[in-house]
Amino acid sequence: MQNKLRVLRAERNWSQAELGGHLGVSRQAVNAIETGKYDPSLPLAFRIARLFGLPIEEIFEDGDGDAA
Amino acid sequence: METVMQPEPRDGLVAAKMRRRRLQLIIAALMGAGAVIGFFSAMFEMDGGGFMEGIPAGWAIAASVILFVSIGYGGWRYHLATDELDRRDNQWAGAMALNVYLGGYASWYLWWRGGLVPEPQHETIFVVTMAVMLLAYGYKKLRP
Repeated sequence: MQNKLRVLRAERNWSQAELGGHLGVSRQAVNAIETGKYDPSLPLAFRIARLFGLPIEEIFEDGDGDAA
Repeated sequence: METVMQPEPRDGLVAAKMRRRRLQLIIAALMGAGAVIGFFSAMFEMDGGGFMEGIPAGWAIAASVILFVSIGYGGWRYHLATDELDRRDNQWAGAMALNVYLGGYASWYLWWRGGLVPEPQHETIFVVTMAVMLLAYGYKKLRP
C-alpha cells in the first residue's frame, strides 16, 4: 500500500520522531509506514487522517483500487 | 475551507522522548529483576554445588514470584508503552521461538527415545528458545 505520509510530514517540517510523537508510535514505525514496509492498523490510519485533517483515502492508496 | 488545528511540533518531540523514556524504564526494571534473580541464585549456587541444586526452597519460591510479577506486570506495561509495529515484531519473534521450541524439543525427544542422542537438556532448550526469539526480534527490527 502506498501513502503520502512523507509528503504530508515534509509540508509541516516534522521529523519522523515528531510525527511519531503526535501519533503515539515510534520513529521506526513512521519510517516503516512511509517506505511501505508496514501497513498501519485501521485505528492508526484514522489517527493519521485526523492529524492531517484529511480522509484516509487521500493519504493511503490501495494498489487494487482501480480493479473494482 | 475547513481550518484544522495542527499540534505544535515540539509536542511531538516531547511525546516521543517521554515514550522512549517509559520504554527504557520498563526494560531497565525488567533487567533489574532478572539481575536480582540471577545474582542471588548464583550466590546460593556457590555453596550448594550442582546447578540449581544448592538454592534454598524459600529463595526458589521468591525468585519465581519475582519472575511472574515481572513478566506479568512488566509485560503489561511494556505492551502499553510499545506501538503496534513493535507488538507485531514481538508476536512474530514469539511465534518463531515457539515453533523452534515445539519442533526442536519434540525432535530431540524422539531422537533420544530412538537412542540417537542424549536425553534433552532443559537449559539448552531454554537458551536456544530465548536466543531464537531475540534474533527473530532483531531481524524484524532491522527489516520491518
